[in-house]
Amino acid sequence: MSAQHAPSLTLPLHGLYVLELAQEVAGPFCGKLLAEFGAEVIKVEPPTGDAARHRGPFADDHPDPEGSLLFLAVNTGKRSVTLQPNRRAGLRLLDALLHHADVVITDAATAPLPATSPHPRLIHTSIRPFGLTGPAAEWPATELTVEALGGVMAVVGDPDRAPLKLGGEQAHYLAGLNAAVATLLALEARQRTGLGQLVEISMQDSLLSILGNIPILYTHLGQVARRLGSRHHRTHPTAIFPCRDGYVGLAAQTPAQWEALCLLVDQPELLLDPRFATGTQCAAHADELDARLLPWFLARTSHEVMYACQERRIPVGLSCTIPELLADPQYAATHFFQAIEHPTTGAVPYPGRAFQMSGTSIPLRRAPLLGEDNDRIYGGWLGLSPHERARLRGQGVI
Amino acid sequence: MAAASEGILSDVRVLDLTHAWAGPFATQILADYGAEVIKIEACDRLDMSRFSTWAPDETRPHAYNRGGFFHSLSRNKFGLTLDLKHPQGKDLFKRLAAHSDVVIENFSARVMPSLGLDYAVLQALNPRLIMVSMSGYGTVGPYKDFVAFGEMIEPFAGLSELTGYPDRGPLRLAVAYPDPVAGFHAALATLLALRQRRQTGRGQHIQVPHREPITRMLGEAVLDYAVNGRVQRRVGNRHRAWTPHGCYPCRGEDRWVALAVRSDAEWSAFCRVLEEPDWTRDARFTHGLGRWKHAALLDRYVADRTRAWEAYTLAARLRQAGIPAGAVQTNRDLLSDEHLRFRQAFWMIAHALAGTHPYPAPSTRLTGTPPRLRRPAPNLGEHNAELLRRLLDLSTAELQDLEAKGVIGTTAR
Repeated sequence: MSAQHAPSLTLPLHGLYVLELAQEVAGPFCGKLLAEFGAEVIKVEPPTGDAARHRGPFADDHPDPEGSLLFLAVNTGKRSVTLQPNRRAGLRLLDALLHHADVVITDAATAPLPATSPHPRLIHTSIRPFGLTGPAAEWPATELTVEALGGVMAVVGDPDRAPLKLGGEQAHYLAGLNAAVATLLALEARQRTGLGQLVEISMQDSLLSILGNIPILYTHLGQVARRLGSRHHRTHPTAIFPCRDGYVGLAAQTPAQWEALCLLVDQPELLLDPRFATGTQCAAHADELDARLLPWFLARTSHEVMYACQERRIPVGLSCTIPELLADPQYAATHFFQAIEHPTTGAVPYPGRAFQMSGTSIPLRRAPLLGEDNDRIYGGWLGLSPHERARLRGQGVI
Repeated sequence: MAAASEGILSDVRVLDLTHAWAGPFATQILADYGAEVIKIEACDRLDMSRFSTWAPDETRPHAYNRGGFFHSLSRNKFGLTLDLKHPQGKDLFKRLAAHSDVVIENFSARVMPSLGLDYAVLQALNPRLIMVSMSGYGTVGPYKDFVAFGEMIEPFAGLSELTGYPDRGPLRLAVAYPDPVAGFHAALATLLALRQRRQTGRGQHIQVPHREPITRMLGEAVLDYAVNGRVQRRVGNRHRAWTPHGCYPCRGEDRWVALAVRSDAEWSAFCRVLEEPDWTRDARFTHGLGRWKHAALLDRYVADRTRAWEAYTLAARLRQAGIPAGAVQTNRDLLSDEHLRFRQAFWMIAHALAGTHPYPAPSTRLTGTPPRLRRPAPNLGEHNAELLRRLLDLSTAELQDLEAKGVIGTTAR
């Protein structure tokens, strides 16, 4: 390639065609990630639209399939076509779309695909609560019940209160992220073997993979890990601490960080106390240690605490609310939030790409309106005449 | 064409300078799919994941080769020690970089430049080299020199303000959730750069930040504020539309069931499973909106009823009635979960010093070219001689010289 072809003009997935037959969060988040790095992602929606279009909160709290803020958030950069998959004509259209696709993303609500793959290079990425195989494969599930069965809730919450789920829909986002990595691996495999394959992502598996040392505490030390508030099982002070005006997250784990913290809070005697000799011993005496540390935190604002600690290389950050994130000076400096214009909302800030690489100066596009690209895809891609498209529309297929 | 048995990434060599969790999580995915991941440590600066699950009384020799979490993260990798502060160590690293596809590191932003190993230096030796840096906050902005540990990134990225009981402060997962999330993103960045390299012939340097990936996973909360001015906060286990939706006590010590009733039809089925106590006929609970308005009262009634049930039995009965439900599973429960067992969600890995244990298997599952266990985690410097001979053609005398100078070694200092 000549030097004139500045690599910043194309993204790595340019020219990759992805059909997204998945709805709500997990599959669409996978599709969003692929779209952010250049894939042409076509959402194939039922005539009523992705179920997320009917979930609040809505823009101005006005229920409208073009105003679901969840839908807008997880579908940036995609095209939308509508298709009634229960009709024979709809299935024929789907088959034609699959012939053009490199990747198809499905979830538990997707109607079964044709038994034989439309072409051998097609990659099928399936994302389901418990995967495609095993005794729980068909269990009904929601974010909450997957987090329970995936081992997350057992270690979120206070010891004397009910286990909690994480905020939002982490199992869904995580599975979508995992599916995007798996899809890229399948593309690498195809590069080498010439063949597509089935990629099988389970939300429960995905949660198991982020539990870190929690499974190890049982397999190696026989310890059943339970809820500890905001604390860590193996080391302290690693927790969320209240300040005068809010909260900070603190993770003083190395000897240098612990020493710096004791000096900062002006309690050097803690360094000599055998109860606090190591992070593990601090964890065993966490209440006693917190009683010594808390007054210093409560006497200061969260910003004062963060800057004082970070100046001494102690890992501390604010517990940010959404307005604080939108005003965050670091996010401002890195232009993390990007304004995206949409007919329903006007231009509003969205979280941008997770990382920058060659080509990511290309701006993000808004989520598509329902069926916005029917003519472009069915006419341009599949070569259906205006007359045929009108007939399909009349039959309620598109 | 790579033979499937070797793994799809068997033609990709990765120099892995990462430590702790986020970086090793990324390289684990690559190693499970056959990449030649060379884990590089210095004998006086070991990966802290080696120590995180030691028994309190651990005093055995070479205990740093036994740590469970290290073994969980380092399977399928090769072990090399290299003192990057020593001129000869630096030189060996540069020579390895000339023969490698990827360098991944998660030091603070200032470390690689201060070692004289920043991307400009490495790229001059190998224009096809890809470098992925996981330095926390990137290279610009007021926080660029801040320290990032996953446990404080979770609140810093905004997730903790949405996690917790409504009447109590923000909470977090007991482990550093942002670490594996950043790790997934670093794996994604690596795979994207490998693909782009086929198009351009050149590598590139990618910064994968620690905090941004979590903020992106807060979903509609950002837009709800940007568009509606509404600040979403902690709601416990409540759902914005479904009631009951939560976690209720069951028989036994610290046993709980999580359940979600999503419609009036599911409500009727739910009442039947609970054998229709009087309160299920309360008109306030007949429809979704009424149940949502009186959620606190309903939660108390439901909890009184679930206490008599064994959690797994109740969850199974609810699912038979079409209602999503599951027992809250601890780490011990996960090991005996029938479904996970059927799916071989744990790999049994044997190691001479660490023993034989189950470890979570790859959750990134390709069925046509599946991930494989090729070797357990390496002991410190286990592959020094093999790698330096094979890749750099070093002689036995040269290896002995490096060992004598402490540039390489197999024992921690």
